[in-house]
Formats: sequence, structure tokens, C-alpha cells
Amino acid sequence: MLIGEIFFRLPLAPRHISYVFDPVLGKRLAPSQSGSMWIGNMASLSPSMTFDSRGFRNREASPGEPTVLCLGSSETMGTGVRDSEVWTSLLSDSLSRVRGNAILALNGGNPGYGPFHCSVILERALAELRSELVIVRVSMGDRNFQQPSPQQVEAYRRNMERNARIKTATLFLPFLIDKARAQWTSIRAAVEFGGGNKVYTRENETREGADRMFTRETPWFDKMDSLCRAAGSPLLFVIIDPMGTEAGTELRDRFTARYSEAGDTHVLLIDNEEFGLGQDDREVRRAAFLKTYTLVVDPHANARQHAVIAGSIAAYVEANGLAAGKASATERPD
Amino acid sequence: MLFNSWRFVLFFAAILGVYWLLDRKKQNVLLVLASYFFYSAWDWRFTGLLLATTVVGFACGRRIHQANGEGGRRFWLILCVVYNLGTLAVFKYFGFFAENLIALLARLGLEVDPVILKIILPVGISFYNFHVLSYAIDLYRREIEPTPRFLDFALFVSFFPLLVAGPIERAMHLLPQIVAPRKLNGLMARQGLWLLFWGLWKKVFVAENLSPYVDQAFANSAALSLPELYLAAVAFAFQIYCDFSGYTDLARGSAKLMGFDLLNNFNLPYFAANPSEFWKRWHISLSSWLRDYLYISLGGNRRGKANTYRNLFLTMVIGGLWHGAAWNFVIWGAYHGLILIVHHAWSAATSIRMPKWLAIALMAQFTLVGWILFRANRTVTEGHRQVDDSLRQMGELFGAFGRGFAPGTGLLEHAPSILLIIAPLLAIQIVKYLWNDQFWIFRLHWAYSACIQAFLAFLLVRFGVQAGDSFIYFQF
Repeated sequence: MLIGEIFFRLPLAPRHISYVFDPVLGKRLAPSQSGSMWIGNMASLSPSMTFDSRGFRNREASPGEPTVLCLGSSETMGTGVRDSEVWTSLLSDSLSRVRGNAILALNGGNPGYGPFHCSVILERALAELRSELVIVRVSMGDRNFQQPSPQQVEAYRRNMERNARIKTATLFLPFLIDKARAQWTSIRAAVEFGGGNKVYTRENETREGADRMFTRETPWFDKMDSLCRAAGSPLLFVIIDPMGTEAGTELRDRFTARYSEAGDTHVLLIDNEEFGLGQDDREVRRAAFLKTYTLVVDPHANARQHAVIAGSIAAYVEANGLAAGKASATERPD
Repeated sequence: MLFNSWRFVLFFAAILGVYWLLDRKKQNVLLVLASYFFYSAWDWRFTGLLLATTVVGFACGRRIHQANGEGGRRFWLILCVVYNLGTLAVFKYFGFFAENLIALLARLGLEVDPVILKIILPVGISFYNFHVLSYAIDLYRREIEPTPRFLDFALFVSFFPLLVAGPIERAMHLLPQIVAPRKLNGLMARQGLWLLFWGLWKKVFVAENLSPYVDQAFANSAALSLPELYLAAVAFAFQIYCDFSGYTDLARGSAKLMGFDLLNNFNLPYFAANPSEFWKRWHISLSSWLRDYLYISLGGNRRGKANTYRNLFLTMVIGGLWHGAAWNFVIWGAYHGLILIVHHAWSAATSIRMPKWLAIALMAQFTLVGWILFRANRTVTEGHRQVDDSLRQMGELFGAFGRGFAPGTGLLEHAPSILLIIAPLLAIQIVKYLWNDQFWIFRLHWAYSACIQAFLAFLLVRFGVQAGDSFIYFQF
């Protein structure tokens, strides 16, 4: 205990990213910080991540700098990869090259954020800045990330206050408790022979599952569409479906049917073709996907997957003339 | 079922809980069932092959013992050898030889349709086949008696702590322990628990933390600068040592808690002062197996220098090939064969001896060159096939001598992290070397021992990486 306590108080000890309480979302990433997070059920620490004054994972935007606002869950934030490897960072580089001038992709991704959370972040962001394009990443896993109830929000607040009090007394003990909890999860998974990956189930691949997910989240998609129309920013829904399932196709069709008739809302499906996974047997494709496109210790996307996503989005943006260099400003004019 | 997984912990705890309640015969039944369950957790499809190998080994062993005359004994030995080497040839080397034959024919202007067989390599085949071969050869040489019970022999072949990655046990060492009653005293229990902890620490803290740096370096072979190549070689040297010796310690520790004493497979190999000593310290069970059953069978050192050197070289090349069906392993084996020959010739020709510390440092450099060859194990996809690209990767790696100190891949930025990971291990290894005691921790005053173990435990809990997908030597 003594060794642990001393280590955790050393200036050179690895820092962890922190969250702040949010009365609507429950919690959000703290602004102006850098640090790592545990990945793979505390199997390993991620590379260090840097967040700007808005709590977005990117460098601080310069005044007047053109931006693209990207929203989504931990796969948008880039769990487990370096700042330079996240698809939003790669997209920045790609679009800047094509345009001939810099454009910054603001990474508003956050672990555990679904369509509700993205709509809130979008609303807040558009109140203080104008983006040339808004990209919202959607996947079937988002159906697990719903609007927190008032009780859940209150629980977040109490937990954060309690953790802050504990950390004034000890830094090592909370780590030990978290580690023990992670081991308990591993033990349960071992006993259950594969356990339950609560995020991914077979329903993630079916047309019916996609239909249920879209229907339940429609209010938030509608809200994002309305916000972008009012702000005059094109909106691009990006559906990630590396396995090329019925669910991906169904989502694309539902989004296209509902949003693309008028206005500047687009839909892009990135599926097994872009990932080069072919048409082999589903289990073969899944094994190839896990081996090639996910982290060693965690099912989150690795750098290779981020590169594929960035490349696909950049190609679509360029082909459709989105974010093509209209006059814009990072800060909205008064 | 990896040793460093909760699944194994639960499995082993369940087995151990019942084990010491049973008599010896029932213990052996339990261990055979547990071993087959353990193996089937890897791939149930090959439990049949394991059983078939066991049946063939047992039957051939009995025939070798019962046969009248040398001709009969030799026949059954050859049958056993052909079966075991045949299964190895099919499952492990078919693709390699077929691919190289097709390439050779193509060079001679003969186009042949490639035979594409997606043969899966059964886990542990190189290890349990060698168990059976050593049993048959020892019987033939009349060094042991055949074991009368099939179940005892089945346990010798399939004993789960050493089934998938060794150590390669000898019948004369393990079989007597299988047929005799086992005991567990306080010292054995402490040693077993220490081996489990130490093996886990090496695997989860050292090997797994070095793995990303090594992977990153060797994925960018063509861009590594010379200092980066050296750093990558150092990192891999400690990764493979901790991965493999960590597994061995976990195997020995779990066996000790069941009353078995397995062969020590590693004895501070990076403190070897010459190539000959290196192979008495690294993968001891394999090098002694090759010495006793291949080198000596080829004639050993009994027929003059030229034959000795030939036998050394062949043994090491085959030892390299044992590690995998790829040219880099053959070249690695040939490399070690060459430095062994040079060492033998030098020792015979001159009485000049360098200081021990210098000899150790020099041998470490030769070992690092070998590890570069060993790790250059790249394959590329051509159509539906995975093709050996190790020769090209070797060229890229050693091209670092031409790239010199040019800007590389950024690996040097991680040098402090790599050295911090290695430092505690190195400190402990130095103590083990000076005290010449693998259980050095028990020689300390309890307070010092507790502090060191607490520190190691802290490193394990705080920095250990849990989810490695396998141990490096599982692929052999």
C-alpha cells in the first residue's frame, strides 16, 4: 500500500483523464487536460490523450479557423489510439491537403455517448461556433447508450463527489478497488465461458434490430438534423458496419429515407467492402476483423481501422463538395 | 486456456482441490482427464491426434521391449519415429516444403500448380511428439523400462502443465514421478507458489509491456535506424525470454503444487560466456534432447573434427527448423551452428581466455544478432496463401547497417520506457547469477523478501498487461 501510495503521488506517475459532472449528460470529459485511460477491462493503459478547452480531443482551434464537428462515442474519441491516429485527426490532415488550407476536425466523441448525448453536445457547440460540416458517427452499439434518467444523473453527481473526497485521503486504494472489480468481471467472463459482451450481440446485425434502434433514437437524430439546418451546416451521418450486415443496410436506408429529401443531410455507410473483409463466412470475417482492425487488449478500433474510416469519410466529403472552403468562422458572430 | 488467465486459475484450483484427496492411481486418472480437457480448450479437433500419438507411442514402446533381436527392436523404433516425424511433417512442414519445391521448380522453368492445403498447426505438437520419441529411443537404448499402464504413459505425454509449450520432459525423469506416490511439503508449496508468481510477473509485466514496442519495430523493418534495430533486438531478447521462461515457471510451479518436479528449462541464458554455454542455459530441455537424440545419433564428436562440426551444424539447423517452417528459423539455427563451430575451433586452437564479464557481454551481442534473425518471421498474403517473407524482412532489418543513424521510426523515444521495464528483471537476474540460486528470494531475511515481493506485486498490479493472446512458443 505504501509503495502504491508513494508512486501515485509522484509527479511522473501516469495521469488519468478525468470527467466533470454534467447536469444533463451525467458526466463529460474535463476540458484542457491530458492523460490516459484504462482499456480492455484495465488490462492496459491507453496512449496519452489531449483535450482542448471544450473537452474535445484536438488541439486548441485558432480564432477564425475552419472546423468540422465530429460527434460519437468512444470510437470517435479514439479509445486506445494516439491523438494523431484518431480518424478525426486524419480527416483534418486529409481535408486540409485537399482544400489547400487548414481545417480542424473537432473531436466531440466521448465514451458511452449515444445519439441523445451527441444531440446535446451539438446543441451546445452550435451555440458558440459554426462548423462547415457536422459528422455524427452511428453504429448499432449506440443503442446501449441512452439518455440518463434523473436518478442516474444524481448518482453520477454523488459518485463524483465521493471519489473526490476519497482521493484527498488515498490515491492507491481507488485504483486497487477498480482493479479488483475488473478482475471480478474477468472471473465472471471465465465462468460464463466468453461472458457477455453487453455492447455487441447478434441483434446488432439484424434488420429488426436496426429498425428498433432507429425508431427509438429518431427524436435525437431529428434534433440534430434540425439544429444543423438552422445553423446552415451540412450534416453527415456515418454508419460504421465492418461486418456488412443487414443492420447496416437497414440503417442507411432509414436515414436516407428520412433525411435526404430536402436540406443538406447526407448518409454514408462504411461496410465490409471498405474494410476489405470480403464476402467470406461470417465467422471468418469476424475473426479477420478482430485481428486486423481492433486493439490487442480491447475490441475498440485500432489505428488501422481509424485510417479506413478517415479515408472513406474524406473521399465522400471531397466527392460531394462538403466542407469545400466556404467562408466560416470558428466562433459565431454576435 | 492461457496460464495467465482466470479461466486457468479456476480450472487449476478445481483440479488441485480434488487432487490431494485422491490416491495416486485416481490422481493420474484425474490428471489425464484434466489434461485432455485443457488441450481441448485450445482446439478439441486435435485431441484425437494427441490420443493417436499416445496409443502409437505406447504400443511401439511395448513392441520395442518385447521384440526378439535387434532387427525387431529397430523396426518398432523406426515405426514410432516415422509416425511422429510424419505427423510433424504433415502438420508443420508440408506447406513450407511444398512452397519451396514449387519455387525451385519454377526457377528451373517447370511451372507446377500450387497445392494449397489449409493445414492448421495443432498446438503443442512439437512438444508431445518429442516426449514420445524420447520414450521410444530410451527404450531402444535400454536406458528405461516400459511403463506397464497405458494411463501412466498417457499422462506422461499429455500432462497439462507442459503439454503446449514444454519443457520437453524425459521419460526417465517424469515417468518415475508418475508411477510413484506424490507428496507436498511446505518447501515445495512455497517454491511452487514463488514459481507461479515469478512466471506470471515475467509474462504479464515484462513480456507483455515490451510486446508493443517489438511489434512496432518489426512492423517497420525497412525504416529502422541502426540504434533502433539494436534497441528492438534488446527488447525482443527480453520479451521472448520472459514470455517463454515465464510460461515454464508457471508450468513448473503448477506441477510442483501437485508434487511433480519438472526440468528447469532456463538458467540465466544471457549470462552465458560462449555459444556452448548459451545452449546449456536456454531452452535446456530442447538443446539436451537434440544433443542426446540427434547429435549423438549422428556420431557426436567421436569421428574427428570435420564430422563433429558437421553434426553440430546439422543439429542446430534442425533445431532451428523445429521452431517453425520458415527460412528465418533455419537461418537462425544455422547461425547458432556456425558460432558454435567457431567457438569449438577457437577453444581448441588457442588458450587465450577473455575476462568473464567481457565474454558475457560479447556473447550477448551474438545472441542479439540471432534474435533479429529469429524475429524476422513475416508472412505476406498472396491470393489465399500466407507466403514466407522472412528473407526479405531480414534484408530490410540488416539494411539498418546502411541506414546508420538516419532518422528512424521514433522507437528511440521509448528507450527509457523499455529500459525501465527491463531494469527490475535485470537486477534480480544479477542477484540470481551471483548467488547461483533460482530460489534466491528464500535466502533473504523475511522483511527484505516481503519488501521485494511487495514491489514486484505492485509492478504487476499497476503495470501488468493482462490480455496477451498467446505465449510466443505456443506457435512451435
